[in-house]
Amino acid sequence: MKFSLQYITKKGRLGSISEIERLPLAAFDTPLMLFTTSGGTVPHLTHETLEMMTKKSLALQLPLASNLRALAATRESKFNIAEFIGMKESLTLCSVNDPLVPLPGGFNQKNSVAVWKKEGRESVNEVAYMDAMESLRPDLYQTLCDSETDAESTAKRLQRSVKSTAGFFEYCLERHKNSKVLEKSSILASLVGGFCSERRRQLTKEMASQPVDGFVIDGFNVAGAKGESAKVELVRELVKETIADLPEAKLRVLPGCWSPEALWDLVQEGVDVFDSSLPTAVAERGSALTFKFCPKTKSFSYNFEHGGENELKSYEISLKDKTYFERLEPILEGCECVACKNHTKAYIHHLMVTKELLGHVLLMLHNLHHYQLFFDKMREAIREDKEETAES
Amino acid sequence: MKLIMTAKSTKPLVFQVLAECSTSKARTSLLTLPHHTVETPVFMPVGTQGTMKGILPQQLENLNCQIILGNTYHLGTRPGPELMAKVGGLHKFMNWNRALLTDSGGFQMVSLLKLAEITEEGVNFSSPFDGTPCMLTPERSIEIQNAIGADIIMQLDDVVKTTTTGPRVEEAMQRTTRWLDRCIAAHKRPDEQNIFPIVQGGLDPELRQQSARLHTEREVNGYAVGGLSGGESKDEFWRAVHLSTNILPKDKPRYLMGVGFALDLVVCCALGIDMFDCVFPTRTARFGCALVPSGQLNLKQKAYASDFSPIDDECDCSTCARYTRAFLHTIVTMESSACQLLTIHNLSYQMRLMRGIRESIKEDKFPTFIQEFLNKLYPGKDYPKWVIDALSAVNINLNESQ
Repeated sequence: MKFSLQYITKKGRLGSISEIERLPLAAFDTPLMLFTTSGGTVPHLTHETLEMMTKKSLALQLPLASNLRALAATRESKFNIAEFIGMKESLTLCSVNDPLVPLPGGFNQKNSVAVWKKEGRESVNEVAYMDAMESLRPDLYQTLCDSETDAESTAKRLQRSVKSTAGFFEYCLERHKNSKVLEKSSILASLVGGFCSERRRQLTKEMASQPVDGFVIDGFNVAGAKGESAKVELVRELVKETIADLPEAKLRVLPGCWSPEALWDLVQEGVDVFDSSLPTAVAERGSALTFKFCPKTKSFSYNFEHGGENELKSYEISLKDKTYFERLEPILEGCECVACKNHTKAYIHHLMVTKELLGHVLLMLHNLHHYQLFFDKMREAIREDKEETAES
Repeated sequence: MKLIMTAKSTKPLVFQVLAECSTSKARTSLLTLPHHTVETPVFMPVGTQGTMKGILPQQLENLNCQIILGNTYHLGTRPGPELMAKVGGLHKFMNWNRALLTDSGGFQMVSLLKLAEITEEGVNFSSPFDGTPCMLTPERSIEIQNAIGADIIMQLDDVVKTTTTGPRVEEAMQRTTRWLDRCIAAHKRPDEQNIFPIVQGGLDPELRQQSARLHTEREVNGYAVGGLSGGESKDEFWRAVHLSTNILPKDKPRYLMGVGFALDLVVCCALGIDMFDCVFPTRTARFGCALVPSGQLNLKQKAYASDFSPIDDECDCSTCARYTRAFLHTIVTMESSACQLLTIHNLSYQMRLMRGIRESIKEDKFPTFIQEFLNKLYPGKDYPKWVIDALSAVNINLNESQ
């Protein structure tokens, strides 16, 4: 994998991930949105419906929990995880945590991490983790980490999380260096430390000079609803500090269910890769994204027409709301997605009320399309910024 | 060159038989409906609430689905006929541009609602939402179906369980004809929608004959054979179908309601049926079962954990193009997408089966097709007796010896 920077400003940078061994012709522009998956599938979608949304190559985020099911088959066969899940043209990044599933505290041990599968909790230590990576052979993966920490964690807990993570890192890197099957995979160092500046600095300084391809800024435990309501000012500060200590040339990944405004803030701090947990979470609750981002003014505008029955965010409308019963226009005027070009709010509302699967399919198609467009616009906003500090 | 405008045919249904099997009663035809021309024999997937379990209309077209079903009871309740009418019908509401068929709502009521009671006026039931007494009359059923706007609509019939015997069966048969007349009288869109009557009569040959005869006295463009999708023995089943198709006119389509297992489809095509519907392929997909020529695969079974072949080597659907049994094993009943993937495959299977039937009838090789189909389904040649009997009744003698 090659990560090349094309344009750096004080408020965000543009880059490209390319030269993936398996995908020699593919290039992924950063800031990049990974497609969050479950069990190797983008929730509610298939390759066929994804192709209706975009013909571009996809980059997939594969959280460990639902990938454990694939271990037996990938170990036995010649298939790597991308091939096994039927997405061999896509880039695969294995993550430790699922940005849609908040971690309940208190389950990680000193030497192992609790992984929450749908079928139940499994304990994974560093050996099992690297065994898994060698079976799955993803294009990129992060080192095992203890990320069960958040704003309320005690100092002792934070200390332990950093220590475990550093220990896991050492083992993972050693295994990676000696592994034939992982020769073509890129390793990313995991950085944790909750919301504690000192702990994060301590670990970041250790990791910054390591021979890895990039860094995953983890350990905020901002999955699902926790992410959407996270105090982004605090996170932003910590991310800023972390990035200040990281080498400029290497990839920075920040998973989490950030709100669009929070995500733009984090883009401006210099983060390169995010995931699609937000559009997915919004679709799961029956809502569609309707916010707009203007690359020129770099500001957001909202469509405050939701019915008010549920606690909704400013960036969405809830198709479950009775107010859409007879609305014969699409979710968003001018939107070119499959849902908006072919269906009305009234129909999607009907699908929500009758709990039909197609409802979530359409919302995912709309939300992912909308979010990809948002990423296009953020990249455009950076490109327009004349305060350049470097050029390719 | 000046474009010549031909007068629009006022017939909402044109049935053209393309070829007949020279051995059995099978035939393959073109059924021209207002929204689409359908090739028969045809299997109609069931999209109960105006949607096919997670599948986009575009995907259905890609599978060459030409006609699908909607359920009047469900759609009449949600979103209701007023919105349907406002939107311009179910075609527009769900953005499906090909043909649609709706049932009358009667069967669902009787099977879904506990307190359904049938009187001469109609079906009495308690509203599932607030318990108030409601009535579905022939007039109301047609009114809702007019609003939904399907190409083919079903009369409200007096449905009895196939296992019922005694005077109730005859009562239901006679009432069904009276209700047919009321449906025809109430129908406001005869130029755009075709009412199909439903032949009833339980398992009594006399009553079935009478029912069919009464229906043929009405001005209708096609017929349905009802009351035969559960409870009765297979032997009684095929005989009732055979009897019905012997009486019903050859120049109009015959629709056998609720029938959808592959074996039943093949045999009933030989008996002269043109149209079928069944929830089976889409329902079984949700439970992780895939349809194959040898029967069904339950992909939840551990046996498939390291099976890296597609569901069916000879299937050209988008699921088989990319996904292995081993992968599907890891996601069935766990991930929503698994349902879509299996539904696409199962529908593809059904469509291919029907296409195979049609093509073989065109080539007058239908008996050979049946033999090959049965070879795959019963490699041990242990065909069920009813299958042997039914096919023999239409001059197809199976190769039972090895």
